[in-house]
Amino acid sequence: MSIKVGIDLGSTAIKVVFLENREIVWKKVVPTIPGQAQVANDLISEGLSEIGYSPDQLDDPVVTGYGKSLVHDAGKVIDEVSANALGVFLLSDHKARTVINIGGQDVKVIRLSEAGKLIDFKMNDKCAAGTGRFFEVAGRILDTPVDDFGDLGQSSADTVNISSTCVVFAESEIVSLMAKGIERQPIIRGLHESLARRIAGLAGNHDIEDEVYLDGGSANNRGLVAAIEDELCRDVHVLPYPQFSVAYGAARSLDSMM
Amino acid sequence: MDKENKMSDQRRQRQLQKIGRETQAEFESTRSQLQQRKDYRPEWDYFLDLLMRLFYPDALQVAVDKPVVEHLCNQAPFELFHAMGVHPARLGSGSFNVVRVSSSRLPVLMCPYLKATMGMFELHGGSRLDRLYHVVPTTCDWVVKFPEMADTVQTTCFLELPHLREDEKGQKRWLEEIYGLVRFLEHQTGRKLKRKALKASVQTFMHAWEAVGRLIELRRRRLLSGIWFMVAINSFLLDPIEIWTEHVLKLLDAIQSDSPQPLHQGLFLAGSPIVFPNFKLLNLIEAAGMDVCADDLCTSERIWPGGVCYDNSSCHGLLKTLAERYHRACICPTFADNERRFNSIFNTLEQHRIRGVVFHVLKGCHPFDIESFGLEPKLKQKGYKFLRIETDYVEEDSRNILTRLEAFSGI
Amino acid sequence: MVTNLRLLTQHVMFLVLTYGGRFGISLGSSLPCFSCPYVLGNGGTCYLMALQGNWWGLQMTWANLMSVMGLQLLTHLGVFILLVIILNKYWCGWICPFGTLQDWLTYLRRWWGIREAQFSWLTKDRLKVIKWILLAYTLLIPLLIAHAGWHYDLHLPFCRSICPAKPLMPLFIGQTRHLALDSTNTVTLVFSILSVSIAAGMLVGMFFKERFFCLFCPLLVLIHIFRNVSPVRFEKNVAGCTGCGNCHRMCPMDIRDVHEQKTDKDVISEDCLLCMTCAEACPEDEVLTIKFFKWRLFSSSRKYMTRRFTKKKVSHG
Repeated sequence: MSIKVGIDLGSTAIKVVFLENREIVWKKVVPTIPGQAQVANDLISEGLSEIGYSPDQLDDPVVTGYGKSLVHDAGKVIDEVSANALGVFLLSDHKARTVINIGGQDVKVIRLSEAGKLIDFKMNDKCAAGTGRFFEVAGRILDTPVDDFGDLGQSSADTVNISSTCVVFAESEIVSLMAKGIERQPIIRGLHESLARRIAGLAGNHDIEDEVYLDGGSANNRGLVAAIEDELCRDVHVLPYPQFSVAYGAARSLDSMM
Repeated sequence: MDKENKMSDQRRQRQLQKIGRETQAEFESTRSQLQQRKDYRPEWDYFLDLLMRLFYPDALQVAVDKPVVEHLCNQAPFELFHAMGVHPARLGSGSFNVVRVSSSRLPVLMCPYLKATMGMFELHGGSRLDRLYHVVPTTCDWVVKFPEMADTVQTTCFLELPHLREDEKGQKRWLEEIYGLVRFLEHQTGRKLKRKALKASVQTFMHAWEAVGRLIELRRRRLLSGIWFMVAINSFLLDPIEIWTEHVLKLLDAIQSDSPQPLHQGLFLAGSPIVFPNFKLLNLIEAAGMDVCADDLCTSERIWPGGVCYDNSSCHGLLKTLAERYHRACICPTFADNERRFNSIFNTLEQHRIRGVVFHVLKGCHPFDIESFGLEPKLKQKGYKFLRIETDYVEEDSRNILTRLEAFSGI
Repeated sequence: MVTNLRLLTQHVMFLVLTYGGRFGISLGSSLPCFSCPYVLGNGGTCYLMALQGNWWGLQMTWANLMSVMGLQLLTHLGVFILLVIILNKYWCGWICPFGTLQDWLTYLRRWWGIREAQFSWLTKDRLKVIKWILLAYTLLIPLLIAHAGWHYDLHLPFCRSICPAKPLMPLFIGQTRHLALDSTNTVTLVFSILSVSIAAGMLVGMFFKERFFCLFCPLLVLIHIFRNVSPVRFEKNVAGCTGCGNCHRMCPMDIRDVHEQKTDKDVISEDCLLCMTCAEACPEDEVLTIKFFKWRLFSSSRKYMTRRFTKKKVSHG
């Protein structure tokens, strides 16, 4: 029984998945640090010991993500957009037609054909507004873990308008709001709405086709999903493990069918 | 006060020297990177040496042994300068380092090509070259203001470019401007324009065009990579035409005997000009596994808007031909009635089975910016793929661009 | 090369049509080109003479249509139409001896480096109507002579008062008679004054402007009427045109229609002589094509254009 390995060397986090018979049997995410090749290898060893397999049962790993050129002995290297498209398409049972991926430092809107082929995509320019970094910085100032943003944002009845899209300027805007005595919850909801507006601006209406899937680490944030649904006026689906769909797509890319 | 001025002058001098060294390093490292490529051949050294003249313009002066006229746009016919015994050259460079010489005095969102040109000009103190004059067709806003910002208005001949060229008025007015240019050149050189000289110049450039046509064919057949093609074409006008043409022919003979390279996915590159040493986009395209096999950049294939054919070999007839040939066939988006310009892109895509277009927009280049939005739906409707890349000379967005190009190659 | 073929054809036809009769060659008298009947020993004559001559004698009844004269009229007309349909504008650009004469004057002017006279677009458009006026003149006056009792002295009005070929072409057989004024009566005097003055004016015009007379030629429009039934087709692939304007510049008749056409396929315009210089000058592949039925006679191509307009390199020492 051979295990397929997918490695996503992202700019913020490194994700590794093991697949057996097209199912995820092991996965892990760690923050990105220098020495990514070593980190990836360590993760693989860790995974092997946890599920009790030996190294020769592993197929050559497929690597994707920003750091893919740093790993020299990869079986195959695939670009992250294709991996993302493939991963979401397969995990959604071939239903996905649009993927919105909010990564650590970029945002992508990907369009798929009915056969799961990549038709078109849009990506943010140099500026990292509207990416995971936005929440990271906000979390530091609000002294709140980013994982709690979802519940806190949704629990708020009110919202505030966060006008800055720039992460650095948004920082000072949040500080001044807090100084006025505004609670965390409305601020977090405002952050969600600001991000949703930014994404809607990038995407444009004719670039979106149902079914729409949200992807990337931030997709676990239900408040954000709700805000995006509100802004795009359509349902947005989230897969069970949204942060791993790129790695999944990488691992499945060797299947002869695709 | 005087002492302070002296200090600030000295400081400025040191700054310029530092930037000069870094620019020189940029030129030389780009050259050596090219020389270390697998598909390098010794015949390319001639062209690479010519490209160095963008940094050492005196070498150009010595080589051509004529006064050098710097012109900012191809619209001023080369043949005319050649017939008057002066050498036309586009001396703008794509150096990223030299931009900061003058960037504090210029808008952030300005065409980086012109910022680099101005920086280079200032770096060389403006006077190293026996540059008599500049010829500036009024194409885009940045070009129009350039002489004022570079303080060269006194030695500049402006040519008011009519932005409508399908009607009689536009064509007549442009011909008037060309006549104005003739008078300007006659005044500066003290010589009269001779019909025979103009005819001979036209033929010289036709021979160069013929050689370039063969180069273009090679690249369409993927026997010549996009980067090397750009090296050859960027070096046009940095040496006497006849010598350059000879070297191109030699190069052609050398390449013809090669076996075809493995086929990369072919691309059409459109948009703002790309000039040595800023080959960033070309390198990224190659890194993403594709190859530029056609383009319509005004510093590349479209330096010649086509061959010259005249039915009237009087002086007037030749000037009219040259004026019309550059004016009507130009694909620059600065023109208002430019819709047929897209046809040449579609033709090339269809004829050579190229699947997609990468549109390069320099930040601050408004005409190309808006044109990209006009082109995109037309291309997509015909089933081709389209990618718009807006960038300037900095390296920091290379990652981002590479991701896009890789995804583009997978569509 | 197309130009060389055309030059050859023009010169051969000039000789045939001017001197052919002396060798027993006769191509008939319904030719759709200016092969002047006043040139004795010609190899075929211009239909305009037949056109003017036929009508005036006929009394236009059905009975007369079956008479000798009527049959002659029908035959001439029939042959004329047939020739026009088969070759269409090629008669103008490749065969007409008067056109060849105009081209010689143009070569002379080019050799001397004299610039060509130019009309503004508006003027040129306005001049077009003159062809139709002259055609009407050619047709109506003979009819008026025949049926409205106009004076016989007005017979052959076009040949005798307007056509510049009548005084000029006989010079090629050494005949200067038609340069003289005919003072037999007022009408002939006026006619001959007109004829000689127009010829002189045309001569000057033809020197300074390429194919000057063709701008006024009634035969051109007569041939143009039949362009839709002719198998000769001149077509443009508008999607391939990049608007370079070479076709407009190279055209001897300064036709803009080929350059400006953005939607339709057919680009034979009223003034077109089918000299095919525009197609030679077109730098795009297969944009301008001349066809005969389904066969492609010539199609524009970039390689051809470059070869045609680049002179062989002369190596310097």
